[in-house]
Amino acid sequence: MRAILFLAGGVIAALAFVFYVRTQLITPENMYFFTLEAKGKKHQQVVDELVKKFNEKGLKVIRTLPMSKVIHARGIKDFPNYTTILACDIKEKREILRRVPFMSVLLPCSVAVYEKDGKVYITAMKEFLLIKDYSQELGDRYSQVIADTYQKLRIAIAEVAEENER
Amino acid sequence: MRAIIAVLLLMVGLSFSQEIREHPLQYEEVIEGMDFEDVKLLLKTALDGRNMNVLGVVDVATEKPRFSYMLVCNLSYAEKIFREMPQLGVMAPCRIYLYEREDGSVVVGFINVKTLLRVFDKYLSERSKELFLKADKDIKSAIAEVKGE
Repeated sequence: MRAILFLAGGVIAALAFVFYVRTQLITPENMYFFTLEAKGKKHQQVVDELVKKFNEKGLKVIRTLPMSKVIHARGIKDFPNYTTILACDIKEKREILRRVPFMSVLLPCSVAVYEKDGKVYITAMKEFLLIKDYSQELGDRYSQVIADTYQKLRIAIAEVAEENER
Repeated sequence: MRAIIAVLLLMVGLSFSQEIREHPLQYEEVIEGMDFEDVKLLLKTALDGRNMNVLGVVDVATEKPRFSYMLVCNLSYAEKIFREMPQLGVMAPCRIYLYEREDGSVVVGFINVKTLLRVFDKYLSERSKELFLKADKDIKSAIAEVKGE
């Protein structure tokens, strides 16, 4: 009897774990986006620090798009601060885009800096799923270049998001 | 026996067809009989005419096979969608890429909006989904205009 109860308990625990992983961890939000809160910082400060950090790390910034400023200028004043930074102008982009044109979704990298509920967040795409699906066309070398670029991008974002906490 | 062989052949066929299948997040159209630069100019004009503002055109390769991409955004749509799911801003501005094939035809591609909506279905309201579909329709109609359809 004890063995049966133990087994049933194990099965329930395993099912609960699978349910938690599927509903809380493996969500489209977690699979496609990397998001951090920049605690204690203002929107523009985060944008300026990210631009500086990306350029320092060789993730050259191409453009900064002040989305909310344009929206405010159209008379919609309650739209929260929102800026998109286009970065990752890497030298391999030409070969990568020629091999897989759809990689233009990843290169240049778009990084969104926005306010929500009074907090400032930074979001970037996660590249894993897209690289995996095109690994054959990209080859090992260029798959690794994209993975390394996005890894560097995440480190830069984390450094800017967490600097104030030290 | 013949039925089993037929099913097996069908399964093999399906497995091969899956290998050459486009990524579900990708949408492409081929434009034939037009020069790459003409397609680029006409597409930019057609998009601007639909309030899909072209924020920039980046020429990645200027010699054959040529490759460019456009950064396109409709801020009226973006304003409403970003309020609900600001993370989607990393897919903005929308990138529409164009490349030249060996036979001289030009391929225009962008993200498959219908697949995107399936992925983020539970995060978006009906209104935002409608805006996404409207943007998709605007871009596809701009491509159709370039094709002369």
